Amino acid sequence: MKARQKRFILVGIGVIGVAAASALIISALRGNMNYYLTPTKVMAGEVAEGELFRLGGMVRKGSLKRDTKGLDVEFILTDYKTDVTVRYNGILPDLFKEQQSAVTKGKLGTDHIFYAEEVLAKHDPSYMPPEVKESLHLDKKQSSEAAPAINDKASN
Amino acid sequence: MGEWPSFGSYGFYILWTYGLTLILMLLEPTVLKIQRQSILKTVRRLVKIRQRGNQEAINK
Amino acid sequence: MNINWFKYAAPSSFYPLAGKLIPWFMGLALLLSLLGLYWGFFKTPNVLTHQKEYYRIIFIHVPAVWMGMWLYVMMVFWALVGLVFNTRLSYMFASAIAPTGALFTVIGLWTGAFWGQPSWGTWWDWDPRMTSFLILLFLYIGYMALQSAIDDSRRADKASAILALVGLVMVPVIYWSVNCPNPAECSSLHQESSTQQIEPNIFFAMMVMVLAFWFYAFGVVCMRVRTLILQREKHTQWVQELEEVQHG
Repeated sequence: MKARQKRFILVGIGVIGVAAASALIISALRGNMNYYLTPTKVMAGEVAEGELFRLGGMVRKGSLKRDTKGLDVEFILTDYKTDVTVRYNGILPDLFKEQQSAVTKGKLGTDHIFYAEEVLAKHDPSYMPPEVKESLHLDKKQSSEAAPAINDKASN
Repeated sequence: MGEWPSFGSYGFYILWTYGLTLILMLLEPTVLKIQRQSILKTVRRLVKIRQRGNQEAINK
Repeated sequence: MNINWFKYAAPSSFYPLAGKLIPWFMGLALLLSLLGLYWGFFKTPNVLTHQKEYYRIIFIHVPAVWMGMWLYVMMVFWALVGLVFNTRLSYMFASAIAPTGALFTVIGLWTGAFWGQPSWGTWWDWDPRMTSFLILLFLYIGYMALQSAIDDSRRADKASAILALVGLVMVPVIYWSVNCPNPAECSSLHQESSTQQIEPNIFFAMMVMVLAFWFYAFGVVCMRVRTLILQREKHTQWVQELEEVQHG
């Protein structure tokens, strides 16, 4: 019986140790392991020139311009504080839409235009048919009219 | 709603997803059944060896 | 209910019990997945605001990913029970869960790729959720590899149990990689998991599939435990007197 209790305590210590390690990892990764940067962070000069990084944000309404001849596109990514113009040559993914989130990978030019090599669309967390979504959206708008919509949409 | 959904141009992705999942989930029990048969064979051989050993002990 | 649980901790009494349960588990898994897929394909809306037809991958993807994570926790649980009580059967459970967990992890990664390609525009990217989930697969593989690398099964069980426990660190990281309280602190290609924004029929079909996968896992793990029992106890009398050995 004694030996079993001893092992139980040892295993308990092991589990606590693992939990603590996990908490430490998570707090160490916080803010450090951003998959992409927001326009505000980029414009604040958080990246060195010529560095390859990911920029994510909402595609501003009415900002998407397509070249009539080629595959050149230009759009504005925003976090509702700062805007960054993005240029890209290629096919846009299916979920890419204005007023939806997108993540782009590329370099910031000296002209403060982001030259993207890759554009990915971000998933929307909503799985609703259009009619239902509409009504939900109205409710939400009424309740959060005063608050800026940043946390609400840009984060997703 | 209520009818077979048209996958549009996405049938490829959906079918690959469901197809591979189905294959893997059928494969696993099948492999386990084969493993079980082979281990049962081994045990039967062990039983035979033991019985033969006993027989020899009696004959002596 | 007064069941003597320690009775079933003995492989000789668990073996016939599992044999009786397996058909039930597998049958329920089959019925539930038929229901879930029927509901998922026929009772759900064809048009969503932001997703196209490929959203139906969710009925496999989300349950598989959940199983991959839950089975890892179950595996560690049984490995720890084995460490504390030194019961043979709990170690067998732990090692029987590993391949099934790895299988679900592979299904999760695979279906994710086939969902990511049409929707995000890429098969794979080093998004925090995908990266941490890939590590989970490596943990399963490492656990199985370590166990098969050590010949003495008692030592193998103990060593791999400790490895599994250390790997448990990853499970909260996987969860956190998408659901952190402050979205500004972590960003990923995945959306946050939210049950409020899912159409009820889609949610129902998804949950039925989760149940189906659970029963599948129960069934397959029981099958593998039975095989392990036969392998490890083949020299014992009770195994050699089994009906399937005597008349086969």
